[in-house]
Amino acid sequence: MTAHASEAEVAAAAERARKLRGALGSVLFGQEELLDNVVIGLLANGHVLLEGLPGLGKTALVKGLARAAGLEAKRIQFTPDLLPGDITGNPVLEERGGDRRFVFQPGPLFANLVLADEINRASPRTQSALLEAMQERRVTALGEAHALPAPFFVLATQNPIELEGTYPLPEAQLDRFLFKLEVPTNPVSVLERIVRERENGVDPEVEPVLDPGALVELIRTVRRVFLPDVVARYVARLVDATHASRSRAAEGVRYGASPRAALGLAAAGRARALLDGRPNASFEDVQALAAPVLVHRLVLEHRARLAGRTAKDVVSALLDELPPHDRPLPPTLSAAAP
Amino acid sequence: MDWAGGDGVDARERFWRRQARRVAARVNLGSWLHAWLPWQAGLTVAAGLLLLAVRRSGGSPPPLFVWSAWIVSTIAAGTIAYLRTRARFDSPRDALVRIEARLRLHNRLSAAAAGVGEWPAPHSPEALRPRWRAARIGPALVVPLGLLAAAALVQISPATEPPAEPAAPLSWQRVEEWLAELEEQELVSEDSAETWHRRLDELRSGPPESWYDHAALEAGDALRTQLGGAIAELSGGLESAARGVADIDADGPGAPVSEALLETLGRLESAELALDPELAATLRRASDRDLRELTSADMDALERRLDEGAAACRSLLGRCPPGSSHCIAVPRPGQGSPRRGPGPAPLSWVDAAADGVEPTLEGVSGSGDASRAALGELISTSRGAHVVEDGDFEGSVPSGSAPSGTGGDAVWRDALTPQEREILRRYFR
Repeated sequence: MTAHASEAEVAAAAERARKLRGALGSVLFGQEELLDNVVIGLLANGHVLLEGLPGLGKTALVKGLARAAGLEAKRIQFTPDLLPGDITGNPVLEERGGDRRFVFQPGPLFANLVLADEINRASPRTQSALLEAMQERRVTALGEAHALPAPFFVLATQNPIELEGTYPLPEAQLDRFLFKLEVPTNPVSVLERIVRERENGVDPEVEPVLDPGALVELIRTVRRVFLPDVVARYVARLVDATHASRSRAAEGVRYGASPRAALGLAAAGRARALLDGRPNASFEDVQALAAPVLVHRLVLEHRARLAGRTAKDVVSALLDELPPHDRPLPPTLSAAAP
Repeated sequence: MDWAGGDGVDARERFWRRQARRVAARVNLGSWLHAWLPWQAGLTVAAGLLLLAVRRSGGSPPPLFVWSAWIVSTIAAGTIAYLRTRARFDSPRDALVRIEARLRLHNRLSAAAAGVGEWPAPHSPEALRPRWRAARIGPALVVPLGLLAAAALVQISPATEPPAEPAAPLSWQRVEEWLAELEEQELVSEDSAETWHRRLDELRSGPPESWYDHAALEAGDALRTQLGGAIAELSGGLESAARGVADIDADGPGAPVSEALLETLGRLESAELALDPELAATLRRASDRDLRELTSADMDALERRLDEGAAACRSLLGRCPPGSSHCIAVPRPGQGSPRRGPGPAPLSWVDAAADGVEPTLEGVSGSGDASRAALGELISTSRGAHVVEDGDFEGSVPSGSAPSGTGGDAVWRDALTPQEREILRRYFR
């Protein structure tokens, strides 16, 4: 078992992570939480699904992230006629010295950072082509596995409107995304700043603050951030409580979160702790990241959806219902004032 | 403020671990209290009620027993509560988690305890420890104790005894005593005694509040009178039988059958107080020459037994003091009636030595032994013309008073017999 990251190691890693976070701040204005979570997702070695209206800067964010982290980025515009081979790559018949053979021609997936733009517009067949790449970080063609470059991230976007002609992502696909982040609309002050400081059609200037190797090292440091037993237990209790009949908050939930969600929540908690400069994950990290990790993994019953209940409501109720410490005070005592 | 009592990592660690122990102790005490208080409240209220009841009943069992039982049960309840909650007790590590969750320390205490990172700066101890909920503990603890204290201190008058069954009327008691004595002396048969008991029970079966009704008292007196008569009859029969046995014994083994004794025995067996069957059988063997198997000593013993029975009967009726064997018959003044003034009455048995009277044979005719005469016994009969002395009759006298004169006339009227008065009248004619 690897040793836990020391405070000094964490402090140094946090310094680099904050630089990345700061670089992204010059790309998107007024989206502090979104940027934090994107960086956390990156540090947790997870894939992120961004959902928001067109023009909110999703693509710009991905481009800026690629430049700041020094990553090779490729953008795939998902359309209904996109084929799996168009993204994974295709075997090509090659003749050399009179000998013919198929040679794998890598597709756009072979990059450090893949922007899957409007992923819900591709057919399920094409969407499923991403499954292996996202989970195994490799592509198999003609029985031969081809490893994807490290680090490998998928940042997908989808539009919550214009749903005609789209293919909602299946649960298995959604489960591969560590986070599903909503890109909120900007308030007037932020819009004013955008208008003043940006030119239409000109990408913002972003200086690289990391390289792929440093990012991989950051990710390794995140894995060594200490996760106390009580926090691990809290993660487990929280994920378990997403299943119907396990908690009052989960009423109306048809399918709860998977163990992959628990792993993702723990990893995200570690990443958040590192970004905060702490050598250990905490209850607060778990609580802050529960919604981005769990919301897209919960499948509600039809009646619950008709009643206006959302997965976000369920997660919020779960956090209220489950105290971090699973040993409540006896009724003869009340909690001390903080 | 220097909450850690010093500087440095060790001081911080000591501070947090000390606080964790204190928090754990408080939480564990709270858990134990939560389990114990309902039992304690119930036991205390029960002890209060029991104490009230004991004091109300006059202190038996003594209140000390209630206090001891309360203390023992309280300790037992505390032990049970401890055993039931012990598995859920907080360890100091659990308390660290409580503290860091409450203070939002980002689990730095758990991490530091695991050797990751440094212990954070100390906080005010007051901000760490859970607070007692007086509103929940106080009533559950104080109210039952208050009830118990009130039960111990409030003035209580012991409950009055329920009204006892009233004493049976005197006549009933007398009947009971007589029957008991007769049964003890084995003078009467069980069946006849049971008959009298049944009559008494019939009277007693009524509600106690009606025992002293006029009708009940009349019935009791009538029963006593009847039983007294029966005892007197039994006494006479026993005395007569004793004389008969004595006569037979005196006549020797060849004495003829005593018809008088057989007649007396028949009366005794058919009386309301029938003679004891065993005694009757012995008497029958003594009276019949053919069946006579008794020796002289047996006859003496039988005679003595009959005499003692008769004396016991007389004693019951108050006609001879108990234990006295020197009873003699003496005349007693009559009680009179509306149509008759005081006059001679049947002989009464008195203790000669106690009363200091001179024994006489007055009133007993014939040559029989006065000591063997019984009340109402027919000693002898005679035939002849009935002589009426006209001068003796002085006409009817107003009830309750006798004609009396004044001065010498009073002596003449009150102290002289009619014959003497006639002599004096002739002398002074």
